[in-house]
Amino acid sequence: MKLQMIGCSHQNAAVEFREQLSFTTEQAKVALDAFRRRFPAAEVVLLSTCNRVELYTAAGGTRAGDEAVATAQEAIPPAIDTVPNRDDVIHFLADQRHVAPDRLIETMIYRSGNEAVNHLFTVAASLDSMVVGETQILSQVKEAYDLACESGSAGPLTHAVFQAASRVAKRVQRETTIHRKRVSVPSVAVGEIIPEFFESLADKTVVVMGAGEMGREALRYLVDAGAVDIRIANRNFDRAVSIASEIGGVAIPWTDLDAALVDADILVGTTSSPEPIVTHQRFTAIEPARYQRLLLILDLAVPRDVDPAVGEGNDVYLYSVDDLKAACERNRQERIRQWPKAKRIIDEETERFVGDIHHRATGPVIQRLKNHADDLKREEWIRLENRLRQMAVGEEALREVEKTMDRLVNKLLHPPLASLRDDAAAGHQHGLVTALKQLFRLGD
Amino acid sequence: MQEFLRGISVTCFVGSYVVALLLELTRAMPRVPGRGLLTIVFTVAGLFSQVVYLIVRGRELTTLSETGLFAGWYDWSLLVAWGLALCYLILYFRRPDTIVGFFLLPSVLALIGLAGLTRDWAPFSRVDAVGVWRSVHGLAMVIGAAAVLMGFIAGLMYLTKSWRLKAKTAGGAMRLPNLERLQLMNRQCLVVSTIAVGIGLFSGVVMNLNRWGFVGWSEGGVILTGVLFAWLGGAVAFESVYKPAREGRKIVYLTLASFGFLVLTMIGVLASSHGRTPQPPAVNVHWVQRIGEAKS
Repeated sequence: MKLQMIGCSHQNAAVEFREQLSFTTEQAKVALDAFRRRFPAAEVVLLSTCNRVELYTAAGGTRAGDEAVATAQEAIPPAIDTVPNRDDVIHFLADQRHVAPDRLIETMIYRSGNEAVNHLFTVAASLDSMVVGETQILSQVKEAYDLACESGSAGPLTHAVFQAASRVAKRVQRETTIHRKRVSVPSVAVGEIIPEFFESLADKTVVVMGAGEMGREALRYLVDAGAVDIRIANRNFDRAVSIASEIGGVAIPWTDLDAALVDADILVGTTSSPEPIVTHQRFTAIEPARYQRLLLILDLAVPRDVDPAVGEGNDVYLYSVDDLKAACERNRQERIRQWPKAKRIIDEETERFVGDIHHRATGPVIQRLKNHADDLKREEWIRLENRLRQMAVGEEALREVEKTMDRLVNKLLHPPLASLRDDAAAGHQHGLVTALKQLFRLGD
Repeated sequence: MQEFLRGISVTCFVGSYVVALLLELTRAMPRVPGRGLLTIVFTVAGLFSQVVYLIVRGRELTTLSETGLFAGWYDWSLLVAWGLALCYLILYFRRPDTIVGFFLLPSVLALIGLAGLTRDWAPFSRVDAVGVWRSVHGLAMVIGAAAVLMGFIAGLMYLTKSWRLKAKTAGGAMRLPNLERLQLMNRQCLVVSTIAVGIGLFSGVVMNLNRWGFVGWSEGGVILTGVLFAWLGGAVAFESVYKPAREGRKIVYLTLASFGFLVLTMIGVLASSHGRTPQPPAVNVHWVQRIGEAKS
């Protein structure tokens, strides 16, 4: 199995580095297309969230849309028609994000084969999340996979592994309590950070910037926590109106953001803007009107929505995604007891998945071998049957002979096929598939 | 002018409070233009006339030899009524949309009514009055000092909490109350300490007038208590009138500074004879002569 993963996450990379590497949906589409043009024989799925950027590549078979890609290739520089290795992917990412390859090599982790599968299952089941057990990551994994399907960059192996990841994540949710009292980054922000500042949200003004998935989740937690005066500012006003009517709060025009900042007790940043929205200069301009009133800023966006310099004010408290790590760590400890059980499920599922994949690879070989044996037996039977009929052998005797031939073929094939299955389950360590193909001239 | 002030009677401030109450009751009716302003004007008029009445009465009482100053049910009822009316005015300024007047103004009038009922009761002697006012003075000053100290502690906790939140290390087993709660504690301590020190100062003045016939204004403890009260009163007025002063950590700085004044006051008190076994600060010939004249 030729699955590999190259990526970084909150575990090993600082938010500044992840900001540089993160992809918006549009950027991800462009990157997937570029990858396909560069490596037509490969499958690719790009997972880019606040906390991780991971590129899953696989040696694929024929994919739908490959012909179109091949046609398109005529107009672009020659593609590398091989499966990309680690260096290829690193250089691809470096080109896409304009980062030095050496820096990527230093920071990014690499997993291949079983380890890559195990890693994806661990990520999808939210065991590798900043807040262990949050469910947002599963939908993000699904979105990444859907995007790859839409752009035609997913293939047989990525289809299988991502669908399995979804199934495994659900099994972990079902069979452990690790997801109970779930806490995502927004829920930690609302449930653990805000109570350190305020008694109640009922009399506070909350401004939410952004109306995407993160904004939606944050809004839901804020409403549940008792916030009444919630103002949602989004560049796309209709989207703000939509989530305000669905969950709560009032949509305000993007141009009214400064006025809202003056009134705000809590500011939540959730946009996907590549540049900070609340710059130090912008905040300095409205600061006098705030009379140094306490302001809690929960910047849940990556790249960050608020310039870190804004948090240097006396009565301004700025929490970015990385600052939630302490709270997340506490949650991780609370859930640590469930961890081994969840990890066992993932290991078990990884083993099963890998076995299935290998077994699937041996399926056509076994089928060809059986067909080959059947053809031989049929040829011999036709010849023998004619002879026996000439010798006036009865029908009952003919059936017995045919059954004996079938049993003989089956008995001859059983030991090699059983060994082949065992070898497949072990990851084709002994190369029996290749040996069988050559011994029986089964072709590719 | 003095004649005019002497002419102020109970009827004046009772009338003012009644009008204020009637204006409050019009809240049930459709909007009455200028009601808020008129309510404040009549309440202030009532407070002013009542305090003038009490001062004039106090001056008259000091001329009587054995009668204690503010040493009877009549005076106490009027004093408490005045305090309640002042509370009403402050609450009205803070939340004019509330109907606290429905509860406070009838209570004020009821206390004035109680004063009327006990008007003919013989007041306590000066010696008894000194005992009562000494207790009030001591208790109020203890409460005031405790409130200032509590405000100081709340201020320290606020700054510690703020520092930890800035450093992102709050929470866990070493949790402090949240910033809003600590800010509220600071403000409450400031208000409570101001009221308590104000009562303590007033009761100290009355106690000394009962005991010696004058107040030792030049005494260090008295001066510094006055300064402490002035600071606290100024701080409360500042944070009440100037809204930005209530925001952020400014209220914390006010309470921390209050503690500084409290320390100064304590030094002033402990360094003087203030608060020890009562000794006449000096022979007040004039006072002795007046007592002698009254006896004869």
